[in-house]
Amino acid sequence: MKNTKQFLLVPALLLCAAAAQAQTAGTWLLRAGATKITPNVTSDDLTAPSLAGTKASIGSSSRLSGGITYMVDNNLAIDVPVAVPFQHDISGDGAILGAGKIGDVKALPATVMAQWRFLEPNAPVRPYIGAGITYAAFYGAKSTSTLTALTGGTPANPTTLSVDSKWAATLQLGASFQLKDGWFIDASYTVTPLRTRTTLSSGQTLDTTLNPSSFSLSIGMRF
Amino acid sequence: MKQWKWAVVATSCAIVLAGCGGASDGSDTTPKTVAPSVKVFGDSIMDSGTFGYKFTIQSADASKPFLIFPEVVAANFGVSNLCAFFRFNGTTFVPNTSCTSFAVGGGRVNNLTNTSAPSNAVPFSIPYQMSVGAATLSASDLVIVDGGGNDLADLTGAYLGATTPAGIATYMNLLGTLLPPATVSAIIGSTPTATSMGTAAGAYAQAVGQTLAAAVKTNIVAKGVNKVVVVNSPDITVTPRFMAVLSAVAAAGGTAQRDAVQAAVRAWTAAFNGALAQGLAGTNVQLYDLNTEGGKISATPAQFALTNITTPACPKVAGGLDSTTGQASLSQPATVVACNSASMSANIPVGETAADWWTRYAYSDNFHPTPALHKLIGQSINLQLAKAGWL
Repeated sequence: MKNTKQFLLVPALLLCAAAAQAQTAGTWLLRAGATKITPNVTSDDLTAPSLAGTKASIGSSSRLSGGITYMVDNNLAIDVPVAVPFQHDISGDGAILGAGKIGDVKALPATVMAQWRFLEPNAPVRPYIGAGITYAAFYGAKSTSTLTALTGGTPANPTTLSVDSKWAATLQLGASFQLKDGWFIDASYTVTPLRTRTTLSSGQTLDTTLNPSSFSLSIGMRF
Repeated sequence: MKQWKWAVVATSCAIVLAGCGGASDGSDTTPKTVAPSVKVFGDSIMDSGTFGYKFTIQSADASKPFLIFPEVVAANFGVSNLCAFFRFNGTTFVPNTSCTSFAVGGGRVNNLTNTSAPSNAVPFSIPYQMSVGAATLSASDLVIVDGGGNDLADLTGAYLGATTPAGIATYMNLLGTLLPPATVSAIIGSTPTATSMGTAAGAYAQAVGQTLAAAVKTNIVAKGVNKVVVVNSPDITVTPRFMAVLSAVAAAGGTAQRDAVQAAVRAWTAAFNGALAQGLAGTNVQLYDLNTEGGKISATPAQFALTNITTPACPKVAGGLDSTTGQASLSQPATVVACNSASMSANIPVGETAADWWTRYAYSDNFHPTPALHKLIGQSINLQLAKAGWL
């Protein structure tokens, strides 16, 4: 425990030591807020045996989030968003539209972004664009009794599901609004072209294009 | 000011750490609706063991019996142990009051056409099954009913046999068990024709549908049962037994006659199903259209992971054959013994390569679904009930 505390303090001290007056080279930006991830789903059909056109939709999820940004120079930044794990509901679609929720899955996207921040380091508003790489980790998938019923399973032999984790690119648009005393508000919108496969314990698979977009709003402090 | 900064750092760290929690995949095994009891009324495709076995492939592992479709549905309402209320001891039916599946192989809506037991006061009569089961119904039970398949088979057999004066008399007697004889005579006319006899059959099928609907309303809906599923009649002309009959018709009278017979039986089935639907309109009954949903499976078997929808999977054994078609029949004890998952896996038929070949067949014997087809029907019913908010 003591070691853990020390481990946590080291980067924090580094952050404080780097305090600066604007988003100049060497500045650290720390933020906290919320993110909403909205998958833009295009579902293929569940493989046989199934009704033709058996599809799934995946719902959005909002969670506490934040991030750390390091200004490499006055315009180039490295950004690492962080968040509480998201949880997305999976519902029937296509031939099984109206059957309701068939499961949910936790998602933890780990992303590293390179950002280009426009305008001067002390500009009141700094729009930015970013590009990076995301590892979308899907875990803790939990099927409902409805999925079991729809796939011919029973409570004694339930149908479970798992979702493949995937690497994907992420593109970003955002802006940082300067407040007083080093505080700022950050808003960003990202898109991640992502396609993954859900596998049922029956051996059936369902490929879906998720292409999630996310919107984050945070308040932060520069160091 | 500095304290604020520390708070921000600490919050960020907490968020990062929170993200490290893990969880494994799993399932919620509690049904959305738990029924205290599931009561089943119908015929062989819903019989959970009246005669000591189910009319499908027998599981070699007695601890893991294959499920027929009402059992698939019942399990998802939290009832995993359906068993036959009526037990045939070789001579008579003995009630087992701890069981709630009243369906009996050979069950008919109008059992007066059952030549071996022509009475509507025996367990072969589906309305009789309902009148017995109605005594213990509660409003929160799930009730599943099917019927009509054997009535339509009897009707078709008598129709095909009506080629002689005696056959016509037998046919008119059958129709007269449900329709007023004067009505039958009026429809058929003084000189019976295939067309007039077919028209009379349509009227009979309609009356069978009305009879089943009336029995459901009287014995079940009127008892205040909230969750009732009625399964209509599938297209029996695509069963191996009927296809063999149709082949014989084609051999004797040509393909046009075969097609005419098939179209007629389909029209009678539609008359039955239409009358059933009309009779149940306005009630809270979930009418499951097995005719349409089964048709999807027949039309696109690969979509449902079936490779053979025409050949009975049960082996042909001495003493186990249908006397009319020469196909394996689960009405014969010899076939019940032979139609066993272990022996079938050990004896892979020509044209198949894997031991689990029988899991991709639609029919076990010449009339009854395999466990695979039962599962497909069960999950299809479950889908309708999920859309209704029950599952």
